[in-house]
Amino acid sequence: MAPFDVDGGTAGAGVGLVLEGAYPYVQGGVSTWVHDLMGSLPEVRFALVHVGPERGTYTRRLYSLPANVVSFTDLYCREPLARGRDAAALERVARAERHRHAGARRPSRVLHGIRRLHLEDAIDSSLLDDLASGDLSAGAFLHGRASFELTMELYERLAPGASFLDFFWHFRSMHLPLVRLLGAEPPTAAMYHALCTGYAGLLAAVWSHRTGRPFLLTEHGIYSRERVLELDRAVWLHGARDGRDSDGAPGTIDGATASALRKLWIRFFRALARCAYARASSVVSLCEASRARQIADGARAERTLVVPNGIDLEWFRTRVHEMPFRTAERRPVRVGFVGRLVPIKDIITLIRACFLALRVVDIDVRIFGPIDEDPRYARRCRRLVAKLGLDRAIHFEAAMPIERIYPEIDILVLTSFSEGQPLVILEASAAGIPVVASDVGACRELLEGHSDIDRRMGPSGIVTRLAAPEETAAAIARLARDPELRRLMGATGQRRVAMCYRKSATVSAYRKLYTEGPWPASAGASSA
Amino acid sequence: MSISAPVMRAIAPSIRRGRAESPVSAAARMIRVTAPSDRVHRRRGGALLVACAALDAVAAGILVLGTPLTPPLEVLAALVLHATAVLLMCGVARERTSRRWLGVAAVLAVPFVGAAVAAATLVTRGRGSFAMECRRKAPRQSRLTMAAIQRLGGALPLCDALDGDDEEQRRDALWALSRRRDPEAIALLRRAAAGRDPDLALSAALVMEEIGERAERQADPLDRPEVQNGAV
Repeated sequence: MAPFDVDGGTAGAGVGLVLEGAYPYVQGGVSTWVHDLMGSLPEVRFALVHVGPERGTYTRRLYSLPANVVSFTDLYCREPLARGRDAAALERVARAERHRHAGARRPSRVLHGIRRLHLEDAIDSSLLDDLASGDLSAGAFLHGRASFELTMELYERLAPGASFLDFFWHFRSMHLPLVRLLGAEPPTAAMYHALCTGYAGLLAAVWSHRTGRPFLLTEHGIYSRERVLELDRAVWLHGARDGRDSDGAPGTIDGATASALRKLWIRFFRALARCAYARASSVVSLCEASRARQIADGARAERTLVVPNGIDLEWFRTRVHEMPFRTAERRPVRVGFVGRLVPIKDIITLIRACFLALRVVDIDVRIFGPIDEDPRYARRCRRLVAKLGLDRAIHFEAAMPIERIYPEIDILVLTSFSEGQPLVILEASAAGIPVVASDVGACRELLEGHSDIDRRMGPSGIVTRLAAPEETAAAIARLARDPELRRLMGATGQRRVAMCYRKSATVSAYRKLYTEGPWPASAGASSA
Repeated sequence: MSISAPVMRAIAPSIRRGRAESPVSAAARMIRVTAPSDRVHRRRGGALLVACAALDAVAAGILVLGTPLTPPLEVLAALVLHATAVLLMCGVARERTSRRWLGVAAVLAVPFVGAAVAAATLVTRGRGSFAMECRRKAPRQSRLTMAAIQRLGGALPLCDALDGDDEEQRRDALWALSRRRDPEAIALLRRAAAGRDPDLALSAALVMEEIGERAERQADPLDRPEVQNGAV
């Protein structure tokens, strides 16, 4: 018996899906997943909420919404206090806001919640109550005395050695989106489902708390960890030790300030994640490695579960026909990479590995993927190929339909720095192609198995260390020299996908999560 | 890799915008505006050269074509005009001293044509100029502060910092390694990238990638982002 009416009845939707910087504006794994899931569950009515940075950032929807999407709302982290081009009028509005809030000392529950996010580790119902109250306007946050006093208090407690001016602006930029989003009205839905933690996750958690509706959280990557990585490399947060940054140019902020601000941002994103984990009835990840991270970051183990992505084997077989196994007499062995040409995919290591492998085996390398996301990186890859004299061995191909890619590959190589559960490994395995992949995300599980039964099938590829061209080259050479090993691993991959990674299983798991729960852990009306 | 990176990236610039509007930045802009620019000096120098050439031309005209004045007066007038031209040449004060004196000598020694020689001296650049300019613009090494010395004294060896549990120490160690870029640093980064800790491995791999990218960019200045964007 379903405790919630996922078709939404006559009013509202079954599932309020909260997304951040993704579907339908951004192309990628998560967006495709969302689109496929909604298309596969026509009986469920979805209300989509997309959290974007500001109006105008995304202008074109890259996916057409399926018929079972009943509403679509854009929410923005940043919006001006008033609209229009008249600068004088905007100035007047800002002055009026300043005047209105300058003397106000009314305590705000949202401000209290923000204070607790930074100073306490525990996330409880009262914290969500505070955030769900939504009693703080953007004007009051920007110009109110209570807000300024909180800024001062947190500065003294969290970053006393940092520059106050920098702390002040970072604190504002960090919390203004939160204040705006917490003031938004939730769509009417039987339950809320967020596709990441962060602002979207917190919003869904707060809406769930406010309405008493259940909250499901799915993470493809671990949002808070991705933010930490991004903060480590953020140019706008590049502190200068001894006054200069690594290129000898004057740093934007001093080292102590940069360190304190980085900690502040990291703590903030972790707190947002903890809020989402605390409220979610179920926390879903794609693989065991991600699940372990969620637990380490504060998710309760008993609420976590793994729902791997799958592929539609029947559909896949109609497009990519079974290829007769290519025997050793046909040379050279074709090595392929499928994906975007971006630094996170570490194509440089792939090129270096192929350079080393070419010393011992005859291979023909094809790199399939779009180059428009980071043309500079693509140029860098091409230049390295030219420098190493590999123009005849390594070919860059544009993105192509899968039926034109997989028949052209004998070994798939994926040297990414970071992955969730890469679809290309599933596709290659389904096509009977052995894979060499770096040990990130779910790659090891996909190639060596995630359970005892799965592991007994044997490996369907070779896992290598991160950024290790020698190891990748050795794996390529081993597979290239041994056609029998390729055949064996390819067959194992096909069996593994058929057994563990079917799209129908993924869709069933979500249908069950949407209709059956488990909900009792968090369902219940808020006291807010 | 990240689904919501655009959201954070968009939030970040607002920090800078906010800071740029502070009174301190506004005052800095004012200072830049009130200081005379190079163009003004160049225009003044050009005007002086033209005046110099004109005076010498008049002096030469007096001597060659003759005037109703008596010959001694003609010579005196020509001398006065030539001396004025030389004095004007001394007024091209923005130029380096050696160039200015070369110009003055040219005007003094070769009346009329000397002005053209002086102009050529002042507008052309010597062979050593570019190198000198680079030396002038090279960043000065900042002095080691007491805080930096204390930090160095108390800091863990990079290897230990990478192996430790303190995230901030690890981050500092990775940052320090990214600045060193020597074989030892690369070896340490490779070791970290091959380690069991997935976060550290990823961070180390990204630092190696960054070092590689920077090294290639320095080797090939045409691939700098500002060049690619047409800003230079």
